[in-house]
Amino acid sequence: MKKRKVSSILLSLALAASLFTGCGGAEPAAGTETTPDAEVETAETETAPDTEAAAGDSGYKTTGEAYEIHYIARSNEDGTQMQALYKIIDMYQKQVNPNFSMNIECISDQQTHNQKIRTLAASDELPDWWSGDVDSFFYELWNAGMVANMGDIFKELGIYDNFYWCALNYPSTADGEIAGMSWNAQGEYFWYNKDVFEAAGIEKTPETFDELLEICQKIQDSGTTPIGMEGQWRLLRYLAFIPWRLSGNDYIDKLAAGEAKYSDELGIQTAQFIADIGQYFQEGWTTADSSTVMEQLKDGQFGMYYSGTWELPIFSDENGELLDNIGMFQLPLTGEGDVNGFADSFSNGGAPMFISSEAAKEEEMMNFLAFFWDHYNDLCLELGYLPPGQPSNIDIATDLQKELIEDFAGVTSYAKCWDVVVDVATSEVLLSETPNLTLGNLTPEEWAARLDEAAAMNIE
Amino acid sequence: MKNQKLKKRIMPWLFLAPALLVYCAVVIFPIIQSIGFSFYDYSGIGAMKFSGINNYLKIFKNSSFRIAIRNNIWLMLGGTCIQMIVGLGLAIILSNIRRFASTLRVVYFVPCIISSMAICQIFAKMFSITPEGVIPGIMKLFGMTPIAFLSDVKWALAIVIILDSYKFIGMHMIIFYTALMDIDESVVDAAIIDGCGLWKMYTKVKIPMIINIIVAELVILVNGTLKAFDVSYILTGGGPGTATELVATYMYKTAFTMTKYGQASAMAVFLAVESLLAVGIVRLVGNKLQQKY
Repeated sequence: MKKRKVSSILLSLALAASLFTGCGGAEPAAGTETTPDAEVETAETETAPDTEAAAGDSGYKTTGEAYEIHYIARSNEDGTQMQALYKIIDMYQKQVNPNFSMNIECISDQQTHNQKIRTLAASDELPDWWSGDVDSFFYELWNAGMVANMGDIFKELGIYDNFYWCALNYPSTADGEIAGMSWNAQGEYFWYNKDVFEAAGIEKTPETFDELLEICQKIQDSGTTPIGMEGQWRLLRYLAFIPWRLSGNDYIDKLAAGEAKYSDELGIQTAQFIADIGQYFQEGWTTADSSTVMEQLKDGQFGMYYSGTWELPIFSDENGELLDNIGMFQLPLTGEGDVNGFADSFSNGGAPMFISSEAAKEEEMMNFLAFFWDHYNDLCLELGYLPPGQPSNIDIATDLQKELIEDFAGVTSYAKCWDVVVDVATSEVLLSETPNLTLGNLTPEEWAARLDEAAAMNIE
Repeated sequence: MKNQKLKKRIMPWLFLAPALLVYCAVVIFPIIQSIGFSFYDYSGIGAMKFSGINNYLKIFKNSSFRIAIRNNIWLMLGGTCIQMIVGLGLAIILSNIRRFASTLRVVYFVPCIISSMAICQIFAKMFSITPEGVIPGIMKLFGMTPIAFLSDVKWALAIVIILDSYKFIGMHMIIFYTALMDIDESVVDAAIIDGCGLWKMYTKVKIPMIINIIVAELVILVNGTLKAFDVSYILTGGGPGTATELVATYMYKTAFTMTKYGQASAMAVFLAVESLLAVGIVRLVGNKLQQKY
């Protein structure tokens, strides 16, 4: 009888164990793409000339030895930064070191990507390069000495001063150390469909949030969905709009430090704004995808869409100029008590890339980085994006690119992304609970209480 | 003689040893380790800090976790009922069909062999409002206002329950079907001679005869639905808000998004205990049912 009991317990425990094994055996998550490095390697090895001769010809330093960089990128396989990277790898293999290769895993979904990095970090298996944010998890890696100081690397390569201020400083720590590398110069705007605005009788773009809401109502009255929405992170941008205008980054910094509450007047005000503007999003937005939403904006099914200059290739024609029916406007002001102006908005360098402190010691990695930065900024322009640093020849930029780069070069302050500033556990609650405001499932007060509870539990 | 006896005793254990070793390494050891982790604060980096039962206290104070438990109970009740009733119903219908029975069996079994990812993607497109999916389209056709089922807190959990059930109904149908087909023909013939109609045939003869299979199925269903993960995680990500958050999905997020491995381990232990308790209750009820019939 006793034996039977023992075996029952063992079998029951086995049942429970499947909980753990179940997660491990899950299918690859959506948005995960792996680039077989073999593809990049083999094609080039056949055509590449002798190592030493190549190094000598190109004038770039190389060890000539076989070296592979493992990079887990938060990007689409066909994203511009990846296209540029593949091109540069190809050039490096042909011109400098045929034995160099990169093993690149592209995971476009932010949550899936972050989960992978966090799991790898926990098992001490961080890749050489990875994308991320300077969030509370990053600080654990940084404090443990697992991340290279990118500022030092840039200085060593002599390219520190070539970056635009915002792109250089966006991935910096609280004490001003440059921890990551920006891939782009990004400014965020409202993109709008001119035909929809015209049909709704709207003559000028909004300058205040009240005007924005009025415009939304006009578009809705004309029978079109005012705002195309997608992605929880994008909703957190909306959440940050009013606090940014009224307090700069002060409110979010205080929230992250536990010195302010979501139930403070400003918190309730911004939650109310989300509840108000949320009624103008398309129905079922929580399961929408960005490429479809952008196509629908172009087709005139939506009036506006908030996003960044990384969408330029989508909203531009073959000459790199904005499509005829698409316009853009800057983040409105509150109209009363604003502490910053139109030019101050969400600007950043995209999801930064970090280098492990171990990889930074490798000579060939540094050789490749030097080669990379000699070509990357120009390639960005060619591919229709905005580079994080000054290109060697600005004349290849389109007029729109020049205009946006000029704006970006003048940025001296930028709004912080809430999901990055608050600790990762509270960020998860922010991301999951804020959509409830737009869906009418939570009142601003209930939302604030829920967030205050989470912050109290998570801020140590 | 003594040697022979000893050999007889040792031999089975020798044969069992390799499997037992693997089992201990991949099942027992991780469970013990997970129980151990649940008493520590650990983010995956740096040293683990002993925190006693703090992780258990924290998870029960966490309203998202409490909602996840509530959702999980709904999923267990709804999923078990749907899979049990529809699975048994289909098996009964199939056991009475002579033509195309095997084709229909395969058709009903197909969702079991399609990956959850594919099923969820298909249904996400079907439920989509913009661009319009099949379901809102049909609703419009009948003059109804389309509902964003996956974004509506009133509907999202129901859809997750239905899809999670849909995925496994075929498997339960096959088990019930096999059990029904295994009933001795002479018993059925005797019942018919005694004037037993179709309703009585099932309620008084066939179902009582497969009660042990029904109880086993209940155990599988209760345990499976309590640990449900994939449909909710892929289809709605636990949202909108926490409307479809389940214990397993929240445990996964706590571990791999929030990097609170200690709390996630406490949730895993809770889930294991919850499953054991539920299965224990089902077995108790099942034993009484079996004794009755």
